[in-house]
Amino acid sequence: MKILKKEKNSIQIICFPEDVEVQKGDYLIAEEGNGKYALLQVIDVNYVQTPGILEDLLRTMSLEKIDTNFIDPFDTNSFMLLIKDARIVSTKIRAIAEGENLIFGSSWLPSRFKSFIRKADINTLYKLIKVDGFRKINIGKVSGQDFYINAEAFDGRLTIITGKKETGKSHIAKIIVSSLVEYGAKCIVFDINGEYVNLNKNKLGEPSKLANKIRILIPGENFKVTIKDAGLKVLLDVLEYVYNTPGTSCREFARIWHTIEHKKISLTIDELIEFIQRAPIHESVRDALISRMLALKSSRFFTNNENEATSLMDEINSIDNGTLIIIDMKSLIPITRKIVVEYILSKLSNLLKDDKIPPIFLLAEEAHLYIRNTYWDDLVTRMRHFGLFPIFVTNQPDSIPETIYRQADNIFLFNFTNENDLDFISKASRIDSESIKSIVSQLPPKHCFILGYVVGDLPIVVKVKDMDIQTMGMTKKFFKEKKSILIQKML
Amino acid sequence: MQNKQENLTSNNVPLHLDIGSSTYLKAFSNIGLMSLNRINNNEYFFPVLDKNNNDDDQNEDILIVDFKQGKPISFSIKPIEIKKPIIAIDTSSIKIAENSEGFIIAIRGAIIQRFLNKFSAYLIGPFPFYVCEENSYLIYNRLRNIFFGLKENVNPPLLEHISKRIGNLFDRWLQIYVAEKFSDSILLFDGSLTAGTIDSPISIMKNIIEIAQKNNNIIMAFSKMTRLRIHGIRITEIQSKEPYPYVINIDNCLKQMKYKCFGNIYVARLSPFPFSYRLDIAPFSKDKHIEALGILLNNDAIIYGYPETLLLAHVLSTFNKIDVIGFQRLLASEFNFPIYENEDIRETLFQPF
Repeated sequence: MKILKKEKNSIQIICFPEDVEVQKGDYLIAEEGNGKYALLQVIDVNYVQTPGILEDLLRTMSLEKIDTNFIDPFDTNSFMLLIKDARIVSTKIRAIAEGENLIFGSSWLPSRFKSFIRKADINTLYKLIKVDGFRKINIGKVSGQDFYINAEAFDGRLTIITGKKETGKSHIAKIIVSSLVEYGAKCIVFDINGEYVNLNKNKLGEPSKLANKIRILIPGENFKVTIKDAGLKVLLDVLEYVYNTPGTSCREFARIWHTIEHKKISLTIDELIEFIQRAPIHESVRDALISRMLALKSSRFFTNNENEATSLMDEINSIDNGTLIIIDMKSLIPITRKIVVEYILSKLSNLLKDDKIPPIFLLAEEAHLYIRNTYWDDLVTRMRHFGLFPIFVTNQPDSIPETIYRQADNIFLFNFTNENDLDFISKASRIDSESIKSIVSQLPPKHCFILGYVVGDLPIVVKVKDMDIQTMGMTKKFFKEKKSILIQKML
Repeated sequence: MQNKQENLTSNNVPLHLDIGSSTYLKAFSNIGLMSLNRINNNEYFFPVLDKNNNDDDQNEDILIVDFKQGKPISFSIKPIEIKKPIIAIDTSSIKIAENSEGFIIAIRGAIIQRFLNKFSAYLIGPFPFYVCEENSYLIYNRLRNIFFGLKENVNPPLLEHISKRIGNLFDRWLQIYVAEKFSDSILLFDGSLTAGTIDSPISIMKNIIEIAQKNNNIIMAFSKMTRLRIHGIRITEIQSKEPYPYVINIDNCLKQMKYKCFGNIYVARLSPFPFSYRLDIAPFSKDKHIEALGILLNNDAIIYGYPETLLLAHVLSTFNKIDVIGFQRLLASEFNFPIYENEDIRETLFQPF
């Protein structure tokens, strides 16, 4: 393999197919033997435009139509085939390494003629990816070898997992959260499709390693809260953002709330409704507030009975060594989902601020469906400082604001073929758009392009491993009968 | 000469030849290999930018033709619906690399058979040779001896022309081979049927014609370029009033012969395109030649007035750039002859300034 040319951050390498089997995402090392080397990531592989190739192809094609016998005592044909099949490997310079230290942005170039180019093995990459921590998560395989990331890479960080449908996003999300919980972390999952609820079972249906660490909370069933617990801020946010209540009505509601608080009356939703009915306010405001309070009541998320209420703090703190709280929102209507999320985010923020719970990871799938727009920045800036570390999962990359991508520490990219999605992702990612477009558009299912802190800023393509847990992420299908069974029935 | 094998008839499609096991070919290959063995491993080679040497043989043309001797005679050609195999042969040679003493050359040949619109092909080679002043005498005369049984030694051609000359010897041997192996066929050669030159001794050309005649083959040799001129005008410029396709026989115009030509010489214009070729046809009489041309038109496509099968033989034997690069890699890896880019001394000295 030899370096052909360099343009900006790209290096083209010329090689024969036999030299090395490279795939998009693989790393090559170009070294001169003095301990310094360039770390090059393969982003594309093409044929060499050999002089006379058109003429040669035409000749080969014409020979295909002819019964041809070759009398080639020196077997020159095999050599010529090699030349014809020579490849151009397009790479990006990711870093220059000196020993085990990476230098980003160095202008050092390996010699065109003297440098030796080889495929980087996983151990070399490990030595270069210097991410703090020792809690290893086996995420899958790189070049056939197990690849580990550190659980600490998610601590205090914003993570985004995105890709088109059925490429393995939820699968990797489950690997990450279950590993974090195994290492003793606290995680909350907004489970919009009810696909995390079986993480407590392995594939045989027996209790999994996480069985004792999982709490499944179903809003309206085993997860209810009191109005008092929710507090004025949550209710005002629900009124404003979920029910689009006008400002005047919200102000009247706040005034009524303060009056009740002042009178030290215990607050239930029924009593609140009663109080609004008797309050000296304009009829239209009263109607607006009553209708919304009745809607709140009908969500069954709020309870009048304090004994029936769930304490989120207790749930989080109930298990010492790792807790996975799954908020099963599968059966909730969109408005109730938003109410539940408003409550949880607000509650978590308060609990973290008051140090009543330890820092916590929040996994949110298709968060744009239930997290209001004004929350995004809050989640990734203010709440992160309190100790809430979000992991967003989406198949619509543009549903997450571009500014959030820019602040993301770790990005797990699965396949996208849609040009618009690729454009969006490449604009928002931390590496060049050419790499994103070339690698991501060709990723097979269950292969993930990992960018950011978690891989020490050396983007890596990983084949995501299987899990011995019931992941339930598969789509239910109508035509699910196996062909063999169908044939049996037909017979 | 090789033993006569079972002749291939019109029904032999696809082509099955025993040329791979021919002792002549093995000897040819061995001479090449031995010539490479004399190179020291520490000798450096530089690539040569060379064209394929498969052009028609110019030097051996008859020098002068004149109308005073007689008039050219035109013959109109009409396709004759007789099915016959068309066999075309061509060879190519090229300089691959050079060192201070000589060249590494490569030679390749192609035999193409067309019958009932089906093609079969044999690509023979490439064969490498290392030729320098020291060994050119030996190589050239060994090849003449092996291929044609010629005992007397001759001076070898200049090193500059050696690849073309060795290619010519190989070409003549292939012609003998197909003349022997095929019967009732039309054999298409590239070049002429001129004899008496160093690579085409009269005895050899005579032998080819006799074998062809014995096997009822007719040979047509097409020259794309010729030095034959009538009153200073190249013979391929002569036109007939006959509608094309036609041939013009110029045998009557021949005045002075430096070399002997076997067969009859024609100017052939076989398509509406304004391209004419020198065409030598042998053996047999002119009548049979005109009939054979009619059969050729019926059995082969004519591309710009040139038979497609011969065109294909030319294309398949020719070395392209990839062949040359592949061959250079073979020399480097199998024979351990390092090939370095030749530095341009002018560029090296002056380019930075």
